[in-house]
Amino acid sequence: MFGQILYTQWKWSRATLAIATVIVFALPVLAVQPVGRALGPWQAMEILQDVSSWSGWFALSAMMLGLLAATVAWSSDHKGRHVYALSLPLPRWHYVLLRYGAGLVLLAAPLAALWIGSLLATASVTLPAGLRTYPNALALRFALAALIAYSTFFAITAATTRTAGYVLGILAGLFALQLLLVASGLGVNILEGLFGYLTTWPGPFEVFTGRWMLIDV
Amino acid sequence: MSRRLPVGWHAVVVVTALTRPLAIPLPACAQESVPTAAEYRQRTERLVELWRQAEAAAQRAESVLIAQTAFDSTRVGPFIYVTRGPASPKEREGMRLVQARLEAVLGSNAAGLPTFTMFLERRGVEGPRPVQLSTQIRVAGYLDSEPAEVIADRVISEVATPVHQLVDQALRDWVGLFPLGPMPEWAWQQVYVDLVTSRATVTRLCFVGSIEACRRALVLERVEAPATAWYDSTGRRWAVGTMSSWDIPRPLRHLQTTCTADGSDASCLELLRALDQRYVPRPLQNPASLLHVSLRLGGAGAFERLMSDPTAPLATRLAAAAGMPADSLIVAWRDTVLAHRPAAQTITRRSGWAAFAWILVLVVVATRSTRWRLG
Repeated sequence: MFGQILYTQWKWSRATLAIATVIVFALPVLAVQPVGRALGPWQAMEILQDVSSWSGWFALSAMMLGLLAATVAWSSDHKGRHVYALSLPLPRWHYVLLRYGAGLVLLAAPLAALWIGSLLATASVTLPAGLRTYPNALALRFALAALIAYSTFFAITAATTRTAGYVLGILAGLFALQLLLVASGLGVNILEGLFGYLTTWPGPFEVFTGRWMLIDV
Repeated sequence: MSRRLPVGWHAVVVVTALTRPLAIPLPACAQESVPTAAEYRQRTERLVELWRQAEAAAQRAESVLIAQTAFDSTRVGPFIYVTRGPASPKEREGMRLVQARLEAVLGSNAAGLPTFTMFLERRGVEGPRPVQLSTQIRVAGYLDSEPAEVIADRVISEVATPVHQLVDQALRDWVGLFPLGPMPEWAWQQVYVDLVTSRATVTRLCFVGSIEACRRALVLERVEAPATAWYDSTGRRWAVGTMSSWDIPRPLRHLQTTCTADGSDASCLELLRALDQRYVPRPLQNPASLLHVSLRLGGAGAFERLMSDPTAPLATRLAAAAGMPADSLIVAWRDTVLAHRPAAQTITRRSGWAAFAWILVLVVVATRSTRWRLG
């Protein structure tokens, strides 16, 4: 059963997964390009600043990869109005776990690509004294961030369209409430507080924040 | 039982005092004519006198209030600590730590510090403050959840500036604020990052092991031409780029543009040589770290030895304080800095576990979410 689900998910997503794999492989290679350019031997700060400027791209890629894997996992079921799932002699939770597992297996390819890209990129540069490379730590962080994003979007898309609507409605409601609070001049910022809870430990998205450094002191 | 000090009542006294001269009726002719400078001076003097009287009255009134409140005072070393009620064991521990730190740095000179009155205030607890009018009392606030070390940190930071005035000008110019107590971990890490990433050639050479470069990076001796002694051409361009154009005399400002935008090293050199040395960025941001190492290694009497000859070169004074040759001291400093390499900007173990836990939670949520329905 798992093999069949994995195979169908692979068939639906192989083209987009291939593109994503190439992109994430290229990310670390591009991030270290300034190091290879004509930087002087003492320009460690410039190297750190350049590498640091790629942080956002790593975080965004992890997020997009998770979103892609989650939507691909459920797109066919949504189109078929879950008739296939309901026709199987499986409890719902079992079917959901099969879909989740298949998505995880497919995510392995881009995650491995980023790891290999990071290893190759860092092996190709000569760094000033005092700077070190962190390909394994970056790959681990990327993997965790992609899995968090995948799990979040998977949980949302696993539900009915109505539930997804509720989630979006709550988010829109919060934005509207914030706008009203700003307009009334009360000085209360609920979104900032919420964002803080989500992005600081032990919030789920803490792993996305901060600098993603392939090269650091 | 403590009485709450009526906040702002003394301000009323002062404002009344200030406005009183305006209510004094002036002679008819004076009302019609513009007051002379002498009359203005007279009024100002009257205002100043009234201000003094109001302040004295307010202080007397507050003294009465404080006397009626259950304040307690404890003398430890040169400081008098005021607390609401008897000092708690944690506050007493904080006082002891302050004294221990001061003695560790200043030795017997700690006893010669000026007397300060320090109000230890538990933040978030309502009550009178004996400091509302008297500026002679300093406030060291802390939260209930904070340990005695934090109380000691706050007290130390309150007295850092006055203590700083006790050291000679040469040392003050070099060190910035005189360090009282240990340097925090983050500050050591900052020195490490500075050593690795500095644009100054001497600092980076220091990192790779040149003790002579460390000596120059720490600016232990006066340098005649810092532009060439500290920086290469790239570093000079950066140094000029960091300068505010307000610090550069107008006739020289075009050199900043030709240096930074056109990359002309000759312009960079000309500008840096023309300016006062204090405008050239130091190769290392925190030379006080060397002083920390020197005092720590020197142990008892280190401060006395440091201050024994204010006319001697800094390297000699620091070496005397540490009780070892200057080069050995610099080696010890470099080793200390290198031992404080900060952890890289990767995920921590606890972040990893938190992410893993969230993944599990989200999987459970996915399996438990709304049932699908046909139609």
